[in-house]
Amino acid sequence: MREPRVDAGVLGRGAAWDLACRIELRGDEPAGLFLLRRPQEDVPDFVSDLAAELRLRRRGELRIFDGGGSTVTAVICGISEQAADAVLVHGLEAWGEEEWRALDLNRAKLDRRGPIIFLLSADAVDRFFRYAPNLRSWLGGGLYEAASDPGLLSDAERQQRLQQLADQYQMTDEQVVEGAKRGTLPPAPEFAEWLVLLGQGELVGR
Amino acid sequence: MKRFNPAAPVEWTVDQGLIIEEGDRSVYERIAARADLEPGSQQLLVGGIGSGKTTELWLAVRWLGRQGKTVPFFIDITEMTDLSQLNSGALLAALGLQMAATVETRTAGQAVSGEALAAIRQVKALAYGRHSLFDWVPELLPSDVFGRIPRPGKLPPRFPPSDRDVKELRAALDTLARAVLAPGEEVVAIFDGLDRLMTAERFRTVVEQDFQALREMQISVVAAAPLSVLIGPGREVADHFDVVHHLPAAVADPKRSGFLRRILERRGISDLLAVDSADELCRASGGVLRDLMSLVRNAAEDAYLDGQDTIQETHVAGSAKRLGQSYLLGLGPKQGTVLRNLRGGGSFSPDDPMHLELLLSRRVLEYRPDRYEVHPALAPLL
Repeated sequence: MREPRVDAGVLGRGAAWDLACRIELRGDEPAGLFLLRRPQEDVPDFVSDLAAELRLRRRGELRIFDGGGSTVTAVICGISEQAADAVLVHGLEAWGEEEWRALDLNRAKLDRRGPIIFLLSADAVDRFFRYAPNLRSWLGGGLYEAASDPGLLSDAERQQRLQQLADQYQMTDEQVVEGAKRGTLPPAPEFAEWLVLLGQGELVGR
Repeated sequence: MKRFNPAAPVEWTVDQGLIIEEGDRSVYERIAARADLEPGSQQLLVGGIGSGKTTELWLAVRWLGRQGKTVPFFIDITEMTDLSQLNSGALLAALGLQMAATVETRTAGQAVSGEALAAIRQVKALAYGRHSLFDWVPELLPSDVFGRIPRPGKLPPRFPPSDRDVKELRAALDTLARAVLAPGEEVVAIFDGLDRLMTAERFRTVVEQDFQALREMQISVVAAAPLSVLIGPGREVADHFDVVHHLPAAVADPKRSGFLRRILERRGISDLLAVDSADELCRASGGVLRDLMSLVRNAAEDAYLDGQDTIQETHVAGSAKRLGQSYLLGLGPKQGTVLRNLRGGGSFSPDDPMHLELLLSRRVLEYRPDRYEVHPALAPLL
């Protein structure tokens, strides 16, 4: 069989634009699952860039959950920690048949009001569809291709998001950069996003 | 758009009057009537993913409730425990918890009999695990362990596995049944979610002991079961049950059946479509009800993102393609060959494990009688 070429719904207007619109459209009803295939190449700050754009484009909370090294139960618990926020789950590239089948069996535990966005590599997407038929059914056609640069924000949009962050935390850009250099920033993911938007992504995690 | 949400709660869908019944396909009345008339009977509802099993079971619960001669318990086992670690006793424990909750509700503010109270405690202990000191090994624990209150986890722990626990659960259920039932009433246990245990052998292993105990207690049982119980090498498992009801994929061709179209119309499809492409949506779904909902929702979202007020034909085509791609991904080369062969009119044998897997994953759909077809959203992409 030829290697299937799959044109997932390409998020042409920025990697998160369509996704955010679809989530908004679903309103208060259970928003379901989305699958986002990450680009083949290793893109620095991809997750935080994507999260920054999603946060800009939609109302409500967005939580990033790194499932790397976690068991299936831990991932379910992590996703279920809150019911209404959007969760961007990544780091499941090492999952094989056993893990995906176990998550598939427990699909009901992912039934929540807020959307779940799985960000997976191409190989992991393939395993998802091979071993998780119940999740696939729930997903419908909700597979999207993330462009390698999810952060196609205009300058105005970038400034808008920076202002949102400054208002939320009552801090200036300079204070955030200084805090990152000293390692005194709170552990909230928004600070990583803040640094990325300032072009200081290398300070994340210091 | 909630009317086309494939993940909408079934109670909501039923309450909103969005359910359409098709005479020979809808089985809930037959299921409910048999459960009502034959205490201790055991019935399975078999169907592929997204075929509408939960809706049928829920309708059966409503029907039984209206008759007033039974106390039906709807148990979605997947919400109660980790299905990948399900053991004998789990189904009894789940039913016991629901019966205990009913006893507590019915006797709110009144004294519960000592016998019923003991049974409630017993069921909870067996379901969630005991935390009494006797279950620990004191010499291995630090001295300050006494007085600790165990914290429950985010997920219920495994249900108990041993034969002894099954016997204890049965005794507790007998007591709770006496507390719940009015004279002349019977319990009906309806288990949803067991169809996720894809293989017939795994299904039988999980239910065998519990169903045997329920039969001895004259409790009627209805359970969702995987297609592999009826089709393929594990189909002898079906012989262990009184009736196996099959919920096949619905007829997708609008010229042969108006069922799917009526579903769409009941949900207000005409308000969403620019031109009448409802028939295209029906055909692309292959008769899988959840896929039909996904197709409409995705097309409507695509239209919105295109700045359109209504769904155009291109959005229907795009939505169908996207659904097909979700079936295409994860396919191996040999599976692709089987599918192309079937699409071209070749044979298909569910006794072959690889063929069965294609059926269980809905890449191949089963229609009555013994007719198999590649999912129509997938077929053009092969």
